[in-house]
Amino acid sequence: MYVEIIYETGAKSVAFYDTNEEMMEAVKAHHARAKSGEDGGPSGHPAERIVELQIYNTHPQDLNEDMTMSADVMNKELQAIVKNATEAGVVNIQEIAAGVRQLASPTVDEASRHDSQFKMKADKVVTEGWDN
Amino acid sequence: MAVLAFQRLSQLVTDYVLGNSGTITPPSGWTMGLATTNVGSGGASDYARDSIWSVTVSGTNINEIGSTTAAGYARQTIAKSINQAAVDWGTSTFDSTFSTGGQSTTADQVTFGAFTGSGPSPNGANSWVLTDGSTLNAGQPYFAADTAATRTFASGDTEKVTATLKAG
Repeated sequence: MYVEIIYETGAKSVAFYDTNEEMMEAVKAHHARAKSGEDGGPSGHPAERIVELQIYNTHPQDLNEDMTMSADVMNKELQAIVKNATEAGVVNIQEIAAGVRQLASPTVDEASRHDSQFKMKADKVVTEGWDN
Repeated sequence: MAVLAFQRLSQLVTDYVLGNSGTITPPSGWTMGLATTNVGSGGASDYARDSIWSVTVSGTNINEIGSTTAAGYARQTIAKSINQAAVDWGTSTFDSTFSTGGQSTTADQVTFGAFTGSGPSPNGANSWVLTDGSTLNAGQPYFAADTAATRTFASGDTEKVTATLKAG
């Protein structure tokens, strides 16, 4: 399972674990280091407290790896892109192209500090169990 | 610190930017991976401009950590945006130096881990690679750099990497 670990600092990482036990071992170990003021890893950076785990069956990066969508959805999205980009009845073609390309992005445009960075909906969210 | 731009990055400039190719295109999003292998300096087992991801330890292949046992390892996402998403690219800057100048961009710091058990296998990261997709030892490599030292991970460890590209 893929787990998006959301840290108190706002940092986010994606980790792959085989079991819940493996996940909790890693999360507990890192969180305990943060509470003790220890290093986070061999680079010597500070450990960070963990606030939430978002759990996925697939890597949330893979939301739309093929970069395809139904024609109906594309038509609707395109209408919204054109509407937002229209000024005095004119659109910039490159701006439209950039907006269309962004439809394939697996990430949200602006993620707040403790929100997931991904568009993919998590299968499960865990907010406790590692703070002993 | 050795760095290298792979063939695909150059091809995006020639085919996509200059030629508007519909087949040589940027991916839907960038990912970063860690590898046991080195950018080095062009030696037989260092990276080459046409290196590829592979589980096979041979020649100029790029070998990803965690491909046998992940123990928390997964590729990290860097969004295709500037100063918008949680982890994406910063505002680019220009160096006008005639011989070594160019436009540079630095990504937000990415975090790997937290690792578990005795760490991933293979372990010992010697380089990071800007790539695409989430499947280990697969996808296109775009550019890479050696880490400051070999990073061997254990339970509870995380790793921080900041990628910078100078296009000159």
